[in-house]
Amino acid sequence: MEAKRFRMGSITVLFAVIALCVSIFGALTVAAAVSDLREAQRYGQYVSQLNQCQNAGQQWLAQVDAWLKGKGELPQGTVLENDRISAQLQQNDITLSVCLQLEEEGYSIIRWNCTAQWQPETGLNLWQPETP
Amino acid sequence: MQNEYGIAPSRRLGFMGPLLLFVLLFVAGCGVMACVFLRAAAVSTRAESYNAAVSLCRSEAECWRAGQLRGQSETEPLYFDRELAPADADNAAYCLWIAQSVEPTAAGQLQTAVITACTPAGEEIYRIEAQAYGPQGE
Repeated sequence: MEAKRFRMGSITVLFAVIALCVSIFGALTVAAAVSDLREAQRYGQYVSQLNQCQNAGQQWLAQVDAWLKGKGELPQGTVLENDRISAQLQQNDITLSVCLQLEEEGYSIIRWNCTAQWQPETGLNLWQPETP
Repeated sequence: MQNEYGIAPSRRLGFMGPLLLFVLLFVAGCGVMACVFLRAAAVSTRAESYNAAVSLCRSEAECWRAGQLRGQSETEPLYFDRELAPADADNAAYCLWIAQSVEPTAAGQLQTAVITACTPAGEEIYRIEAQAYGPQGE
């Protein structure tokens, strides 16, 4: 009869383990959700910067078109080489490389390329190999 | 005072105190964990809608630059479902408002579109501003 006695201690330990597992699972769920939100916000920030860069390119195009029609000056940083006009427009971490080919009537866009610059993460204390 | 088995009633119900305390703690723990999971679900839903809004705004900005949405009404939004496919107003999960303006330049005009992604209830999620230059006569 003594062996079949209901033991409260075993149930307590069981529930404590279950509670611990559920707590860890809950913490992981919250961490994953917060990580998703941060990633989405970083994507939104990237798209915003990319769009600002594209807008800067459109404004540069307006100025160059005005210069071609004799109604304004060539924007700063613009390179005029033979029959090509090019520029590098930087907005935050994104650079727009644009090049126009001058033609008899107007121009055509031969390059319109946005590239993001890699920013190394310097906040992490990584192991550095010793140089011999 | 003892019963026929010789056990006092106060001692017979003595296990009820710890048991009630245990049940109370367990229910409180369940409540806390439910709040944690609900919070995680809310954050996850917010991340999903933000991501969708950014994708929609980016896509529509490119369409607008290509000239596909130049005649879009400013009083009637575009509706999209959760799969980001065009939908009607009743089944929409996101709506996109496009406010357009034109600024004359020296040799043409610079068109600007402010594209705002909202929930059907009108809560703004994301906003983007796109510009496109058009030479005179275009």
